[in-house]
Amino acid sequence: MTHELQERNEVMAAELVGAARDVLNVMFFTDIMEEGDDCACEKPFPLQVRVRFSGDQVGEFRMEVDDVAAGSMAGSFLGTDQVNSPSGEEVDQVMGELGNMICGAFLSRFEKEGLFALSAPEVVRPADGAIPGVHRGLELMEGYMDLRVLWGSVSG
Amino acid sequence: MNSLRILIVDDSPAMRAYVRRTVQLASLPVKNVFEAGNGVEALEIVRKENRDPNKLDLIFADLNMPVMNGEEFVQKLREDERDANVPVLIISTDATQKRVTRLRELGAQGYISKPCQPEMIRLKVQQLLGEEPVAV
Repeated sequence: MTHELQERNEVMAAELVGAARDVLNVMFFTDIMEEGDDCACEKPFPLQVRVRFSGDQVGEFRMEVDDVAAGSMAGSFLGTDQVNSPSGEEVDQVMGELGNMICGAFLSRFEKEGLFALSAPEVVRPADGAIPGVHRGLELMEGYMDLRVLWGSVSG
Repeated sequence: MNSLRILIVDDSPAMRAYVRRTVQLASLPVKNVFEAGNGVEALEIVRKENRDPNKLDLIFADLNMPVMNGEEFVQKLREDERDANVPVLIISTDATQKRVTRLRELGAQGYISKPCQPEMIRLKVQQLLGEEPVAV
């Protein structure tokens, strides 16, 4: 890997985590406790969200979360309590929206002058298939999350 | 501020629920909330609900939607003189400068980038409805 590419990937990883932190803080009332190349969590994750982007640059974003994180964040987003916890369908809808928001926030930070179109988020249960590219594992206040961005191409 | 008749346009039911709840949390007076999953559904609601004597006060719209996206929706909406003045507030993750400029040219009066807090929505609504200067 060239020095320039390594530098770009480091910036991309930092913006990816920054975008996730912004979205999680403001709309999901949670935060990132630890970040690293991987997380101390069980794999495969039960839920994966895929968003492809095109326009000034093509690529793919993937977010994987465990059930603890998904349930907790969906409840916060929808304003439900422990008695009226969100249904499986609602959790999937909220996680799709979360993936869409993190991807959009990341692109707005990393390519401020760019113009992008995002695909509708695709929710896959369980998580299936890894993609190469920039990757960060996150420990949240409740549960775990894994983020990946493939820049310049999309998976087959 | 009078009780508002608002339309929320987003393909994500979760996001529509979030905006509805956020409007309530922002203590905005709301009389009717209509919802649409894309621009085509939204135009149908506008043609039905934005006619005298009952006009819509505000439309919240997403950008990335199937069938008809937010940009196309704003463009179509502005083609009919009767709907040319309904304020449209775009709520989207796409906050690049090119996008915001393009939306302003198409006729959207306000833009909020996600993530957004209830307070931001309340401020933008107040601006759009004439209580504060408008700035996209």
